[in-house]
Amino acid sequence: MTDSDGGTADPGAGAPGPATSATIAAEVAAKTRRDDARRAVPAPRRRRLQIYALDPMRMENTGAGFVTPRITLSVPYEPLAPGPVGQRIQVVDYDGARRTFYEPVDLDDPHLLLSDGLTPSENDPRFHQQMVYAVVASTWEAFEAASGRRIGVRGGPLKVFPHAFYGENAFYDPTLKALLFGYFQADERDAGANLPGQMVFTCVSHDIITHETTHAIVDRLRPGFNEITNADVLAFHEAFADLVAIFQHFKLEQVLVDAINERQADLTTAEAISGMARQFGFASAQKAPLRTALDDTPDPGAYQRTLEPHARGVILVQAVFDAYRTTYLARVQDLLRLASGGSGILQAGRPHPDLVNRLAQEARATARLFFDRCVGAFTYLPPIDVTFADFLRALVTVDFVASPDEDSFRTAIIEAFRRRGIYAGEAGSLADRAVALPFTEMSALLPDAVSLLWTLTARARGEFSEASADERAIQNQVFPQLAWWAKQNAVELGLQPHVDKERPISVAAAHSTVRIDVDGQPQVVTVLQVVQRRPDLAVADRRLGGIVPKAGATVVIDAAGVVRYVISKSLPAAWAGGDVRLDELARTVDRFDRSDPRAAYRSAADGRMRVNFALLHGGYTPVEEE
Amino acid sequence: MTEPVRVRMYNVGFGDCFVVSIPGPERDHVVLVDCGRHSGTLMDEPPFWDVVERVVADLPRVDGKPTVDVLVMTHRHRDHVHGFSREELWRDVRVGEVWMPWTENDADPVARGLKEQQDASAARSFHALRAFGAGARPAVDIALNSITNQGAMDTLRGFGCPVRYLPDPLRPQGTVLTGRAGGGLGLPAGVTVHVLGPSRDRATITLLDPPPGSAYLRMVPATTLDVAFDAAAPYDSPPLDVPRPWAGDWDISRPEYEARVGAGGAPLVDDDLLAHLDAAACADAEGLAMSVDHALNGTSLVLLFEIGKLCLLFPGDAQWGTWKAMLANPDWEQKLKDVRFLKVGHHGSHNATPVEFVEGYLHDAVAMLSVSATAYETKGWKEIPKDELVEAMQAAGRLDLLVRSDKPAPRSPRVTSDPGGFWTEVRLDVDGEP
Repeated sequence: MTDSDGGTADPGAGAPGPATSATIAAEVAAKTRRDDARRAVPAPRRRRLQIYALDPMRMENTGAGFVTPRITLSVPYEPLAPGPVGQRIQVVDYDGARRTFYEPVDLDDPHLLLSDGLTPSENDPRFHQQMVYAVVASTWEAFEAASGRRIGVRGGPLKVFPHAFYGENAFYDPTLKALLFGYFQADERDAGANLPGQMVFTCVSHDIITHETTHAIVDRLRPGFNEITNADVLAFHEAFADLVAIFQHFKLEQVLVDAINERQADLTTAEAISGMARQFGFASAQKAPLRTALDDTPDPGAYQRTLEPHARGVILVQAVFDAYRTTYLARVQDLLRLASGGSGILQAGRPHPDLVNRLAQEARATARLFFDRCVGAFTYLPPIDVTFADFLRALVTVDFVASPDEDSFRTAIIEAFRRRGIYAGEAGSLADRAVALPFTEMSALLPDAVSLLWTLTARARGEFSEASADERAIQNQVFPQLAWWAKQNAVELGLQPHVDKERPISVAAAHSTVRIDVDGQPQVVTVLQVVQRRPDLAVADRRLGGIVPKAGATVVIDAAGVVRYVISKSLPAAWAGGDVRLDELARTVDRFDRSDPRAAYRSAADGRMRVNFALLHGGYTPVEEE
Repeated sequence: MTEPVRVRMYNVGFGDCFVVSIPGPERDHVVLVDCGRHSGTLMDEPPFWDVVERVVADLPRVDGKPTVDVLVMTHRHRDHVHGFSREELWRDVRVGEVWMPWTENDADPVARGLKEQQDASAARSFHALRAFGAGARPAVDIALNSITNQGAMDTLRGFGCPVRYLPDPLRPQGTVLTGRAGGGLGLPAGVTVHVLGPSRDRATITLLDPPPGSAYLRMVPATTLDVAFDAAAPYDSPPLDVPRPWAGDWDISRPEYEARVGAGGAPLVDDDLLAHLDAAACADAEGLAMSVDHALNGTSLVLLFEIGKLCLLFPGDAQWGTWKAMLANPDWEQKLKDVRFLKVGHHGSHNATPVEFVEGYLHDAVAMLSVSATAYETKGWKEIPKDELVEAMQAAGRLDLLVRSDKPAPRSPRVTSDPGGFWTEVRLDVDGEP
């Protein structure tokens, strides 16, 4: 910058005068720029990349033999260095087990730009890099589309290590902000459709990539969920990531068509749709997909009994998928009647290709609705201590706000959750209006902060880069205002008055987004995550093992600065003669103390009660049932 | 019997070695409970093998031979059995019976399955962790503790005496062993031993199966497992010999990689990131090591000795699963309330002594806690022993005496210490009142 400053400091520069060599040069340069601009083509919006449809194990009988189906994903275009390394997704192929790097793929190579990237191959690490990049980017985009804003751009780039270690695992590491994928040899004795002893790469499994990416995004949406404060937290992480992976299946055209050809109308029963991580499951001696979303005979008592996080998470996955199935089947009834001469029962065999297309459309649209609602629910989730009931209420609320008159989604959700013993206890009713969160009209008087936040959201559009200096300046202006406001209104937010060190209140996150309201008008929505640490309670309550309990509230504010929703996790949380939240925290700490193998060596307060996906996915989790 | 029972705790550092001397009509009968030290014990004062030699030298002689009436191995962890890995030290010792948990019985298919799983997981986590260098050493020690300890097991099975696997599969909830009159080897008349664990019920067995599911089993390539490691230098390990995962050679060095990615900006990788990456990948193996550790602790033989009016409880390193089953058994409730001697489980870690027992059962007892003064400080095992547990046990009325191997012995006429620092001993009255 000193060069150009030096130029303008030259006496007489910029003043009108006779043409000098300098002004002529400037005119020539300007003309060249104009010519360049005329010749230039706009940057593409999309980049197309080939991937495996689901994973390398899925075979498809084409009539002429079995092939591994591929699919081409379309992801947002950004210039990529070899890696691929972009602004917010950086694939780094370092193998910790072999202490070596692998040749990075250059997706901006003209040959690869012409051929939608490399052809799928298990034997080429550069294809692995391409696939992991494509699926991470696609999942990320789906989240941003559903939430109407850029997510986590400011949280630094997500690093992705496709061959991080040798082992039957893959996980998101919140400290590194990185996805780590392992590879391993399939079971020697029985590897399902894998070759016995074949190398299995978790980084080319669509489900596993999507699942891990979701963990990374949830970490950005709700960092407070990284603390294990009740029996649902770990299960929620797993369930939500599985749901995203399953609803992403519906974006894979060929998978949908195959499923409909295989199962006719009710494609949800096809393993490719409702199963999770087939190759991994078969390779790891489980001899089945890792998990399934399908459950015809729900057990309403299972939720109370089941504490192992994966098993408990499956209950939530199956509840949402059950609602999906109900909704989808209701939506295609007319098609089925039309195609069957009124009976609604199709003839045996493959359905007509037109019908297959229409069914696939409905399946995809319904999946999109469910995905949008699941992501949209985050607006109405508390900042900490999430439970299945919180998710239920948030799902119903987001549906109410988005479509006040059409209630089929929320009634299907409430019913499917009810069949599995998951209720919104505080609602006191199964009616959708009761399950939806209560509406408030508290005046917040925060129009300045709200409009500044909106400026940030609007500016982030189309950019993946980190915050610029003036954006940081806006943040520095907004957050103190928000914190001041939260402290002033602590009691209204369900918190205790702010006291430095003893009960400090802070704003953990704030963002704003826009949606089109039912009347067609844009509605700016601002969401704050307010957290109050309670070290005073940690000292008083020895059952907590030194864990500092937290209260918190998610605050939803409209464009006029009026608070519409307050979703609180209070402390104390008096309910039926005890403090429900502290009691549950104490029970959770106790359960981990008793059955967490690390408990002998590391205290609860020493980070042991933070979510650790390496251990969670590795199969280590306290399994003791109460 | 008016002579007191003596319980001697040998100072093995982070490990257990207890000798119970029970007066009989003709001689003192001896029960030896465990003899081992954790590789995580940095302290070597007194040197471990000197302690083991002292244990043997201190044994009473019968017909001129050092004699153990009952040798109890609570569970197959190095910190409980390593002393037996030098067979020559035990060659002259006569043993009446060896008792082990049922999970060591190779004739029992369930036990064999568990053991295979535990051994494979221990070996895999050990080999995986060794490749992570110095940062993983505490975890390597935990894995090493669980590795088969085959040499020690061979010694224990090689005494030429009966080996009992407990509890008796036909009486899993009520195995009771009683002493015999007469001068032979074994427990004297009037001594009753109740076997309270490990349980054989399904829920408990599940807890003993280290990785729930099979997720860790292929953490290390099978070929690597065949490589014998030098037990004297367990940490010196080459990186894992992981085969190249594909046919072609795509390996490049870090400078080459950086040159390829290039294009200015902040470097993508630095030493710090790679170290963090190792640590993150290592967390998985560490989880496995701790799971196996936990599972093996769960196999602990839990014995309640009834001698006259005196009840002594040796819970090994039993974990919550075993305790829960014990506390739920109404037949044992009174006996557990009568306990006047407690070997504190798992060196005082809190998941080996449940708060229900401390608050609801423990009173007027003597407790011995065998732990190293250095292991938990240098290894970062701050929770062993758990201060809150020790405080809770010392609440009014619960313990008359607490003897810790890492602290000077309390002054009491009932406590004797070896001037050389090899052991501390308590005398316990069998007639009831202390």
